[in-house]
Amino acid sequence: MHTPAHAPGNLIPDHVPAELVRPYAFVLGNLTSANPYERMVHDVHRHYPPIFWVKDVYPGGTPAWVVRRFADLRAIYADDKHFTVKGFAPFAMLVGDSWDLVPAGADAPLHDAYRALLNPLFTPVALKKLEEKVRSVAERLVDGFKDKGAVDFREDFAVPFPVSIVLDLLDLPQSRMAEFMSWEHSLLHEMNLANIMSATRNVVDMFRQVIKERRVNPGEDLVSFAITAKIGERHLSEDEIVGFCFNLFIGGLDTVTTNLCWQFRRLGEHPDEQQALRDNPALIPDAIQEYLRYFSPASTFRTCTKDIEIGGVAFKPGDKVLMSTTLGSNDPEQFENPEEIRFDRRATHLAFGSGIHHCLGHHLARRELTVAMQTILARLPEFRLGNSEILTDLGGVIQPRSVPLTWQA
Amino acid sequence: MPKAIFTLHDGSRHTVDVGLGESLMKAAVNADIPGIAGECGGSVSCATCKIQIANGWWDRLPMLQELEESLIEDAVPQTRLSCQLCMTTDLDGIEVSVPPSQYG
Repeated sequence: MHTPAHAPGNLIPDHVPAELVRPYAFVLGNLTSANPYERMVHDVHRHYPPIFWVKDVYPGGTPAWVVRRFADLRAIYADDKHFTVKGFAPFAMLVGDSWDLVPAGADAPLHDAYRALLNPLFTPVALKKLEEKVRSVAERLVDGFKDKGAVDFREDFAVPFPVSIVLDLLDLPQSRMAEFMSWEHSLLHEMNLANIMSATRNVVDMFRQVIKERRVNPGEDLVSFAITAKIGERHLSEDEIVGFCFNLFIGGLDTVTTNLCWQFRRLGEHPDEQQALRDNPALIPDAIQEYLRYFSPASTFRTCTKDIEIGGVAFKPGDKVLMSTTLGSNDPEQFENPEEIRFDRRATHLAFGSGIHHCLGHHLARRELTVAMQTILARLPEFRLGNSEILTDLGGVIQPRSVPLTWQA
Repeated sequence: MPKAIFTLHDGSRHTVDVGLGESLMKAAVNADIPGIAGECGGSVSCATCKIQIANGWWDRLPMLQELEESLIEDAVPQTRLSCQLCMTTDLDGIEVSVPPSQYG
C-alpha cells in the first residue's frame, strides 16, 4: 500500500524515488526580478530529469509530478484512460460549489458534447464580426497613451484589451471593466487563499445575476447562447452555464494579457525584431506563433486515475501532474536551440495545450494578439523597455507585474 | 497499406502509409511530416492540419461539413482539414500539399 500523494506535510509517497524529488521555482507565490525565459526555463531542461516530483507545486502547497518533455506532455494530454482533468482548477471546490469548468473541466464524452456545441462560436468565420470591435478597442487604448512617451503597457493595454472584448461577448457594459480586472487579478495572481475565495464568490455571484436577467431578456451574447443551447434534447443546467461563464472569465482574459506583456517586453528589448515587423507586417502571424512558443506562460493539472509508467517513472492514482506548457514548448528534444527566437520556425508548441482540450478560444486569442501588434506598430514609434525593475510571478501563469515602455512622443 | 503523398513547401515529396479508416492528419503526425500540427487531435477546432488537395482528388473526398468549412474559409482553394479525411480504397495514392504555415 503506497502513501497517498495527497498526504499532509512533506511526506514523500513510497513510489516516488528520492532522487526524483527536486526543488522547483515555478510555484504560486514565487517571484523573480529576472526574465525567467532567458535562463530559468532552460536550466530546468539542462539539469533536471525528464519527470520529477515537486513537494509544493499544486495550489495549496501540495505535491505533483512535473513533466518537462514535449512528447510526454502531448501523450498525457491525449491519454484520458490514465488521467482526468477533474480538479485542474479548483475554484468551485474552494467556495463549496458543485459546478465544473465548461468545457475545460469535463472529461470525454461529456467534454466532446460541450465542444461540439461551443466550437462553432469560436471559429475564424464566427469571429469575423468581432474584427472591427477588436481593432477599435486596440486603437482607442493606444491613442490614450501614444502622446505620453511612456506607459506601463501591462496596465494601460494588456489588461484592459481582452477584458473589453470579453465584456462585449457577454454584452456587459464597459463600466464594469475595473471590477472585472480586480477580480481577475485576485483569482489568478493572489497568494492569499481567502482573497481567491472571495474573488471566486464575486465572479460566480455576478454571473448568476446575469444568467437570471438573460433568462428573462435573452440577447445575442454568450450567456444567452448558453441558456438556450441544447445538448441533444436537454438544456444546460444552471451549474453548466455558470461553469461556462467562469471558464470564459479565467480563460479569455489573463492568458491574452500575459502573452501581450511578454511580446511587447521582448519587442522593447529587441529593436531589431521590432524593426523587422515594422518593415514587413506580413511576418506578424509567424512572429506571434514563435513568441507564443517561447513565452508559453500557462500550466494546468491532470490527476492520474490508473497506474501507468512513463519513462520508467510510476504514476499512481491520485498523483497530480503539472502540465507546464512553458517547459513543453521549450524542450530541446523537440525544438532546436529553443532559447532562440526564430520567426521562421512555425513550430507546433503547447501554448494552447494539445488534444481534445486544445484551447477553445485560440482563434480569438491569435486574432487579438495579431491586431494588437499591427495596431501598436502602426501607431507608436520605436519603443524601448524602461529601466525600472520588473517583478515576475512564477506560479500558475508566468506574468510580469509591469511592462514599462518608453518612446519619443 | 494505402498511401498518401505529401508535398512540402520546399518541394520535397513524402509517401506515408495510412491505414483504412485512419485520418490523413494522424498518419502525417505519426510520420512526423513537417507542417502538419494537428494540435487538437482531430476534434475540428484548431485548423492546424490544413492541406491542399491536388487536382483530380477533390471530388472523391467526403463532403465538407459546416464546422470544417468555417475553419478554412480564408485558406487557399481546395483546402481541407486532413483530420476530416479518412483513408478509403478510393483515396489510395492521394496527392496533397502542405502549406508553408498553419498559423497565417
